[in-house]
Amino acid sequence: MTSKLIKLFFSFLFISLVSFSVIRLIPGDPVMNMIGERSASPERISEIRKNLGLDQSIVIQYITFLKNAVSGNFGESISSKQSVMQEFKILWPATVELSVAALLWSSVLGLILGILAAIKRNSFFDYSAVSLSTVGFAMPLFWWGLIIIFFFAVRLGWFPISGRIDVVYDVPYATGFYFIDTLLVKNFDAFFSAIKFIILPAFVLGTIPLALIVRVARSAVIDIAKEDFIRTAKAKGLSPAKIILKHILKNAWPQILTAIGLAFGHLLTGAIMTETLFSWPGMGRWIVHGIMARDYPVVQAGLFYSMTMIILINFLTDEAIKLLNPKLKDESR
Amino acid sequence: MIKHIFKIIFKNKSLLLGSILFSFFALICFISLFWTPFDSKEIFDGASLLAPNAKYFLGTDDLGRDLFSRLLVGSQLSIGIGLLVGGISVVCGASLGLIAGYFGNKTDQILTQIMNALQAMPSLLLALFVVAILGPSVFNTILSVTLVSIPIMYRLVRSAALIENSKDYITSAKAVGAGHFRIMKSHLLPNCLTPILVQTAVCCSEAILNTAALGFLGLGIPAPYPEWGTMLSDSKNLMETAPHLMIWPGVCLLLLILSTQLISDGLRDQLDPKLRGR
Repeated sequence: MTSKLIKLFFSFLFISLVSFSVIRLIPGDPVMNMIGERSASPERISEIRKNLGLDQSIVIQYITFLKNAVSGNFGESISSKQSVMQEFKILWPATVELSVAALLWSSVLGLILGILAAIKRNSFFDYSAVSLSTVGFAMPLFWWGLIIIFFFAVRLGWFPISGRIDVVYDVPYATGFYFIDTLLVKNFDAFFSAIKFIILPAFVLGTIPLALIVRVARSAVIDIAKEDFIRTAKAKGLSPAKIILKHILKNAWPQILTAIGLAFGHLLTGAIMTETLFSWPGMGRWIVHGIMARDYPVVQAGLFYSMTMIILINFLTDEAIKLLNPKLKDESR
Repeated sequence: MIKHIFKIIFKNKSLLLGSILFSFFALICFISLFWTPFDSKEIFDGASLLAPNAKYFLGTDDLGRDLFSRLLVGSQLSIGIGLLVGGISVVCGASLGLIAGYFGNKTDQILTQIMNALQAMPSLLLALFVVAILGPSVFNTILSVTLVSIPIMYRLVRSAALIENSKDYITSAKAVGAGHFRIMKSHLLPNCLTPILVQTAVCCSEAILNTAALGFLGLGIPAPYPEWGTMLSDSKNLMETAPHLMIWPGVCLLLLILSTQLISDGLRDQLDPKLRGR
């Protein structure tokens, strides 16, 4: 466990180094980019340089960056002039809300479809579930999003095209999660509006995880069903429902959970595309905008936080899997 | 030998379907090198945003270019980049993986740490970064997409090589006095071929997808080239007036990616009997 934590610590050090240096690799002078070349008098440039700490040596800059990163101070966004931390506080719940919604529907549906396909192996249902998941896995997310927007938002008009909640609702900030915030002030219209806005992006974002989970759940159940103890259970005369729920699922769980953990990684990458497509005000879109606009503080902070999130999620799923499946404990993977 | 390969392909459904689809695209790509209905860069006056008709088979885009010709030429980019990146990641990723798996200890730790760092970023973000730093161009797109796919290849090959490395035949090869390179080339590599082959197809499909994704975000292959992702991005704002512009590049992209994934699935089934029937 301690060696794990040490490893985790070094990963953090490393991502801080990456997010620190990546900005400095982008060609061009950040100060020039910030204020524009025209209005730059030499005094003003050196003043800004000093304010940003760019006149110090690179080692001192890195140490300052580390200090600031720990206290959550990443400076001001160049384009919006707001504190990056403040922006991040509002944006990350949006991404998490979207990812959780996507993961929730895709894992529930994926589990059901996967288990059904495994039970009715080689039936028409099985073949269609497997082929659909193969197609789903190959789906270019941005095109799929466009098609969904085209049919359900533009043609049918059932759902809004973009945004997170209807503009008429003003939700006071409590946690940043609209589903919680709207319920806290008991504004149920706003709550339903938030649901209506999240359906399309969550559907698009959940497609690839769905395909992944169907496949894994199906193969896990098929594997376990071959084992001797299942034959024993059958011979004892247990009902099929009981065998599936109590014996098969219990043993297939670690494999399925690993897949869900993996899917979460996919989700954060997919969120970049989905958020850009649906103008969802989350971290993915924020970072992409930051990269396009050369907004260095935003890119730096966004990179640092998203990598932190991924590392933490990977760490937590690893630990959860080990808790569920003690067999894996000794294997160094 | 060739007869044997065909026999395998015809027995394995996903391999068969994938190969047919991929050969279809390869054929299109080959034909488009010599012939397209119109020049893909030519702008026809007064022919913008036409729906599919007899002259322009799939309609025209907002500037008045023939969509069908552009799709055909676009296949060159997608397939070319896919194959190239697949090839480079085999050479780099697999050899690094073999080295890490064979030497172990420090070499392994350092290489794995570097690859982990590359993988800590979401793949699309990493690609975006590289292109943002170096500026959009064909070469930079290939570079960024390759950088994303090497760690995936590395990880798989390394873990396969680690397992093989502890087996008796390697120990005996060492005892006989075979050199490092010889052991890696003629003992480790043949026994790690399964993950390498499967992963090549996966890298290929990832490369095609990431190239298109970069194009869709506006940082892909620059303007005159008809790249499918860029075409989709251009069609975004025209979806109500000209839905055909949005549908066809996406269908092509989906089918091409599907073909490479089917091939990788089929290869895995075929080469790894333990996984058969999953």
